Amino acid sequence: MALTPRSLFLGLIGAPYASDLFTSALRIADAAVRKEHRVTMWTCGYATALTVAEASDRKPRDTLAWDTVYPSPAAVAAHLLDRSDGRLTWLICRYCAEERAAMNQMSGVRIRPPYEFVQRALAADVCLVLGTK
Amino acid sequence: MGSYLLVESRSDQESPDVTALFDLGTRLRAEGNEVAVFLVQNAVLAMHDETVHDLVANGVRVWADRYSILARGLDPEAHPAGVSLGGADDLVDLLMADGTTPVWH
Repeated sequence: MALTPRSLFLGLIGAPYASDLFTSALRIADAAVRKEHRVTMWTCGYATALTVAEASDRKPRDTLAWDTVYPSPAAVAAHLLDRSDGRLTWLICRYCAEERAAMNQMSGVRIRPPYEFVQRALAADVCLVLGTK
Repeated sequence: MGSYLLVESRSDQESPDVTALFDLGTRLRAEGNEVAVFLVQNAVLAMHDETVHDLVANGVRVWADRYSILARGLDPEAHPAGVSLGGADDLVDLLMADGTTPVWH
């Protein structure tokens, strides 16, 4: 289905490791970017820690697949940002990041004040917030 | 007439609101709206349930995420009649369609 490129705001609110939430958010962002939509990913809570600069680019080794390298969430996010050709913006909530000592973020991720959540959500053509009750 | 996309990510074992979302879909459809329900993550476990069958019978378009089905060791080809298999591309097409109101649960 060919669609006119539009803007999509994705809010990632829930605890990222409690379910497949982060995977779902990335799959949606990836598909939207490939279809030339403009995507804003906004993370709150512990999701702000996914992209800290200190994060390794690989997950801890799997003892059942010792030689297999699995990319970390930070590496996947960086990869997506790199190949989005500017169509993906990754923002994190300053309030949530400060509370979790996650202010040192990797390149390409911007820290924004909490009130921008609503501003950016309203400005987008489509808004989907993942992880709320 | 409106168009609604209800994305369900939980099973009814996780949240009683799953049933409420399906009820919402049925009511919206009964009022003449276009309604699609997309099952992702643990919600795909419900694709054989009577509640999902009722959604289909009431004219709601139901999708199940192939990736989520495979990740849970299930056979995507065993999906019930009336439930379409899809992926992130399909979800984005539904999401970005003009005039659609999306809800994630």
